[in-house]
Amino acid sequence: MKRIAHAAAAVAMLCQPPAVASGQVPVGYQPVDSDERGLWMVMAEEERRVRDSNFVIQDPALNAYVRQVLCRTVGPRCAEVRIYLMRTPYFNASMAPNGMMQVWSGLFLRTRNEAQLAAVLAHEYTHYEEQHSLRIFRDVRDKSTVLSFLSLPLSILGGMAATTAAQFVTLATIFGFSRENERAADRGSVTLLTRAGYDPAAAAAIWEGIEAEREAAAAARGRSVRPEIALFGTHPTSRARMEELRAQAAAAPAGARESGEGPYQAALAGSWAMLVDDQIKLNDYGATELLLTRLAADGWTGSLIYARAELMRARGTADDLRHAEAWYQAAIVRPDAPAEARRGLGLTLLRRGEVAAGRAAIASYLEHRPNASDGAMLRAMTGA
Amino acid sequence: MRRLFILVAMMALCGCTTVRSFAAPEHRLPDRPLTIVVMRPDVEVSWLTAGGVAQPNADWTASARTALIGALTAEQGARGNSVRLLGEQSGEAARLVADYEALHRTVADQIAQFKYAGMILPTKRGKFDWTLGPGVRQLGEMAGGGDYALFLYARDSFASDGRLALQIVGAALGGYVPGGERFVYLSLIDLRTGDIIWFNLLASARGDLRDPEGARATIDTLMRTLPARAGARP
Amino acid sequence: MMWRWVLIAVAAVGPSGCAVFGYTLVRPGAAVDVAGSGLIVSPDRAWNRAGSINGPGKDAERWTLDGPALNELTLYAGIRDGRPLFREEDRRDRPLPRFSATMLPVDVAALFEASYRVASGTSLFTIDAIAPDSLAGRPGFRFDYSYVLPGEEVRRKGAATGAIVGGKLYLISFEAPAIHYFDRDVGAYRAIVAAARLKDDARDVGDIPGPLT
Repeated sequence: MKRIAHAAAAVAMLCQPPAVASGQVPVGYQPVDSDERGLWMVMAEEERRVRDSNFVIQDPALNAYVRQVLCRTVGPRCAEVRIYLMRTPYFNASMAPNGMMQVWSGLFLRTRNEAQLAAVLAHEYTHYEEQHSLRIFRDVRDKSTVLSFLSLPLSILGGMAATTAAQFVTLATIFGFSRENERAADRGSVTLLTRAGYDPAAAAAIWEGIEAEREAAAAARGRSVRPEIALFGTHPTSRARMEELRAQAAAAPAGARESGEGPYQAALAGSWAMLVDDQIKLNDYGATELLLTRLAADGWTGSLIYARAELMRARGTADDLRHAEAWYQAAIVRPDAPAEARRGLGLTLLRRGEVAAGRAAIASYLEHRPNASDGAMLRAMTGA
Repeated sequence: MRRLFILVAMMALCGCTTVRSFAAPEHRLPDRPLTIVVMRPDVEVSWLTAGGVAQPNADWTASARTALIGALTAEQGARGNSVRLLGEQSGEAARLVADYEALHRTVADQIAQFKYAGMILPTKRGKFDWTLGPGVRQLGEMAGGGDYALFLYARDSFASDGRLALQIVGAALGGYVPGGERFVYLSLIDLRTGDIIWFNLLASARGDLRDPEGARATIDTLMRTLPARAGARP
Repeated sequence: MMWRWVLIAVAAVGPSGCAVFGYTLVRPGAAVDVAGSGLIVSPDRAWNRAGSINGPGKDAERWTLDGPALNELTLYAGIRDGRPLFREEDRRDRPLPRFSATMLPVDVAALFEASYRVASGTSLFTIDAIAPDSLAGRPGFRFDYSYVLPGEEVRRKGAATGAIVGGKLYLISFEAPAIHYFDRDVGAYRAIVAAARLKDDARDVGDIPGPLT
């Protein structure tokens, strides 16, 4: 009986409100209660792994830029946040309760200016400031009878397939925020954007883009759009968010409305080739075409024309190859197109049976890149 | 992994302790006092909520880590060996340690799959010859010298009152609700060759890694199958 | 009663004699007809062949020495036009790119790279070099690659040799952790590649002069 009384007390304890009920984590905060200290411990372990990960983008200039945008947006408390840029070609960012922020590289292709990047960073920061992950962790724990499979034995050896507590918490922090927390973070981001002099409409614009990308991906695969992306299953739908964010932006006080397109383009200039290449290799024609077209909103640069041709050549239907040839032809006359456009043109021509022209284009590429990693193969193919 | 899960769940079901070790058959430890370099132990102690979520506890984890290292040091001391903890590294050295930790996780995962979980590699029958390669020497040098490296992984959990209530209800209904369990493995690597010369895994529904006594009992049980020194009888 | 078990046992063993579950032994020197395709290989040491549950698909086989995460040989034996390299996990949202009979060697390497990227979700994959080579006496290519899987952080190296024969792709790849395993075991892969042949060529083996000599 005593045990059952204890059990009842335990249930009552779980129902207590979080330690910091007002919702704002104070400056220099260190966790006190046992739930939260356990959560911080797990995240500290996770952060060790993230810090040493091969996927962390080291580029000091890009890291400095993202930090600078965060600091401008949230103020001096940005010092509490450690940012890790992760080389993962999807749209995501996450925030752990101990101040570890992860930004996936795929995000940079989907935010189009500094204000939009600031909107994502402000959104994640609001999660941190309002301690959402602790709340969601308690929430998940309390509702988790169905999740009992996550108990100890599955974490055996901490192998890739195992679900460790850290992964579980990460799942909870990355994907598990409740819709209510998402709305709170969205509201927080609009407030922070406005205060920092950024265009508050930027937040809604991101979701418009995500929605359009899903439609394009599905259309190119001849499928209907799923009502929700699994990744954001616990989040409000993009459409609902878009509308709320638009309304909030419209209600924001007047002031400077900077979008920061120039600085954003300049900061990312050195990374575009890698980001675009990672996207093209996802075999997602519709979404990639849309992203490239969006990047080309101010005109098709040589490297964007080249990227589009590469996308077509990668899918490689007869029509794709015909179009790719034309796009490569348009690229090679541009001084801002990479020499690889000649390689792409040559390979396309060879596949289309135009052997002489193909060999000539590849020879021209090899003149520009005599030490190319595929030089030996290309020389053999051209008979050189 | 799923099979291993069933295996461990079944062991927990009978409330018993299971230890199963593998050793490279021909390896003999040199007959002299040895230095064991202990890699940063991977330890986590949680309490199981009624729903079965393992909720990590920072204090318990810290206690268990200290108790396990203490138990290792004492156990090896009794054999005349000394234990050296590999300290926190930075820069290139940290990268190297992370690389070997990752490789060891992967090798241990293959050992679990092919020696514990019921899947069999025909070429590995009667053999135990996994390795990290001779590059592990660098880990020994980093620690200021050593004969063997030891990897320790430990997970421990305790049933909350809510979980205990659920267990009681479950038992009354004729079902089984797992309570707290501990799961520990040790892996010993020859720092000259990188070969994993001994691997031992313990799964138990009894015990407590948080206190020195419980940690010592676990470490002593695990270490019992450590290969003998060259001079000793096998 | 006995017959039922015999039937189950027969059902568990495919037409090429390989088990569905678990691993079976490949003896050194054995002539193995890969996935019943006519690609014949003879290993210089004993390997473990994955059953079809753990295999890459119908037209391929996967072999290992110490476990698939430590050394993995994949034998793609006659991938046809329009087919992916290996089994798709999520055809709806993450479809794999398809092989085309008109592909050039560099296209095959790109197909290989994209397939790995899509299947594993990694962006850390590079083709480090590609050069002409031959497989089973047919003009082909070889390439070296390296990659890291997310969540695992083990850096791996790989090597592959392939040829397109009669519009079908034959490719043998080997990959292992960059620490120790790749360099130690790559020789076993090279031995298999060197001795690979196509069944139709069997009569040409030896010193039988060709029609033009």
